[in-house]
Amino acid sequence: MTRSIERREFLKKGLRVGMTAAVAGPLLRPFAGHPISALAKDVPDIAVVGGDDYGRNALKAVEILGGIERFVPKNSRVAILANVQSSHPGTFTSPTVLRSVLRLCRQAGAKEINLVSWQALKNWESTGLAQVAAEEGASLKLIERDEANFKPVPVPAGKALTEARILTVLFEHDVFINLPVTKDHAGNKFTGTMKNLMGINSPANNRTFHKENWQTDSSAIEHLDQSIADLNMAVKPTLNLVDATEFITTNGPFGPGEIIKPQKVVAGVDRVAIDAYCASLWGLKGQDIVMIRCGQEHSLGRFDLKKVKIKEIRV
Amino acid sequence: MPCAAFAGQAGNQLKESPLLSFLPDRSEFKGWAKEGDHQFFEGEDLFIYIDGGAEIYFEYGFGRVIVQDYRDEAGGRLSLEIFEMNSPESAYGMFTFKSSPRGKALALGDECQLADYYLNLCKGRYLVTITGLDQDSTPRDGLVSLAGLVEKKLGGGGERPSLVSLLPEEGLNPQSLKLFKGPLALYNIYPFYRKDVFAFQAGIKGDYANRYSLFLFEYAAEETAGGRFSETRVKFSSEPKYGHIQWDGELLRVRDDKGRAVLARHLGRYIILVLGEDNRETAEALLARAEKRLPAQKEER
Repeated sequence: MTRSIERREFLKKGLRVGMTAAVAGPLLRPFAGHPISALAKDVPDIAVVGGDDYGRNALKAVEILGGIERFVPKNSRVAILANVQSSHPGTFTSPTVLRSVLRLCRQAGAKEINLVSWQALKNWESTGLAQVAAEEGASLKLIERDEANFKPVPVPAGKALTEARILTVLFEHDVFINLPVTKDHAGNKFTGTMKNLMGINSPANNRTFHKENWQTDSSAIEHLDQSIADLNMAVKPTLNLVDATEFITTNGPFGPGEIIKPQKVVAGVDRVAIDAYCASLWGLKGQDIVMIRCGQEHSLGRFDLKKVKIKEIRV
Repeated sequence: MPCAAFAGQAGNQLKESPLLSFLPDRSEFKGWAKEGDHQFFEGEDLFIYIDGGAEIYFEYGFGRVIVQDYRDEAGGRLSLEIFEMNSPESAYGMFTFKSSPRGKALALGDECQLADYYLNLCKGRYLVTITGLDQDSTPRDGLVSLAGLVEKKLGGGGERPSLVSLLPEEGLNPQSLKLFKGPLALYNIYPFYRKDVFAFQAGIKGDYANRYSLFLFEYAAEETAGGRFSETRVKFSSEPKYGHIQWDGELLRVRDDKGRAVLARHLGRYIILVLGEDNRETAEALLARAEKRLPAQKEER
């Protein structure tokens, strides 16, 4: 079952949740492509925009990448995956950044914008993200954790994960925007674009990323990181836009912990490069993060930032 | 059997949740009211609450947790988490893991530390974390008041783990203490290896004023510690991040890829390790001070 919260309902009824049935969609509808060849030569791989107006940073980052129309065709259905893991400061996607992304999608002529998640409504409410979704005309598609709501997707090249189980509702969309916050993680030291995709994979499948009986041992971190990289072969976001404005660098991913405020939004298609850049914001090297190395081995992108075209501005 | 009661879930399950009696109500926490229902998670259901980050709690020894949000008349929001860990040592260890090196110690419970927008407290086998959800506008007096109310309800306290007393006191930053119960916590503090090479029973780390960190790894028996130290020496040699390896039969010296010196030796049931700037005299002096504390402490144990 999918709990869908539409704007009018949210505003009229407060936080009550409406129930609608999830409609089965096409099995593996490809997300909108990236017409790289049609882009101007100066479009970078990664856009980084800093400044204290986080919403403006998000708008500008997408503009630098060639504009929202590059990613969101007119009349498309857009799925957005924000991070609402915790309501502790510096652990969830900024509502201000989300608001800008929703407005961009509307501007591009999207006919439907859905925030997809199996996280609890409480998380959406306490982070302020539910309010923004309602105000901007987007819907919350909150999916029950029942395995029946997840579609098996083989990962033939997976080294630790041979089958992902992706939210079925995701495949009813034309565009998938990955909208994580970057932050610390007590297991693999880093969370960014790639790890955020655990938010569309079934919780039961995610548990296989961790060692049985929940004890840490010598291979636990490698297994977790390899599983995440494998998962990223099952789904390719149309656009990744990372909230690197304010985030925790200790006690991640849940917090509370030490917060730094780079005030940046980082956007692009190359998940490996984006993650390597975000890791560098608090002194980590992309090549030191197993997940990022595994991502490059899967040809998901490049972690050597010297080989990546980065355009960074401050507004 | 693990069970979880979620916010919004009706009925007796919520009312009967263990730890419920530890939650202050409106009459006690003046000016504040509970916001929404509490949440309760036990055993592996912690993964539902702390999705993707519960492993560290299990490494220290997790039992169950209750969570309750509060709101004041001005709209300020606090989130209270009370973790029941498996032992006082588990609670103390998790407390040190979550504490900030820049926090301010408060005289509350066994240990208490106030950071910018959050507070951690441990007492007996309980770990309390209170977080201001609005970060910069967090009412710090509310944080402390709530901590005080909860602390009174938690019963008797525990003693600091004995490992803490083995660290030399002079120059030690008490806010920097980290107690380890497994490799994940150690990895988060300094990733010596990706593998669990030290395989210790317990460990502790403290930072000193001279910008050195002292690590002490404890083993069940002297032979175990000796064997593990031999293996550690081999691993240092094979790990690409380490170089300039010297071994004089007692003391191991290496340098990491950031130019920091690592000095280590085995003594009784312990491996002692100093990490810091590449100043041989300073590092060796700290190591010597640590060694002096061990034999006396060891005989008492």
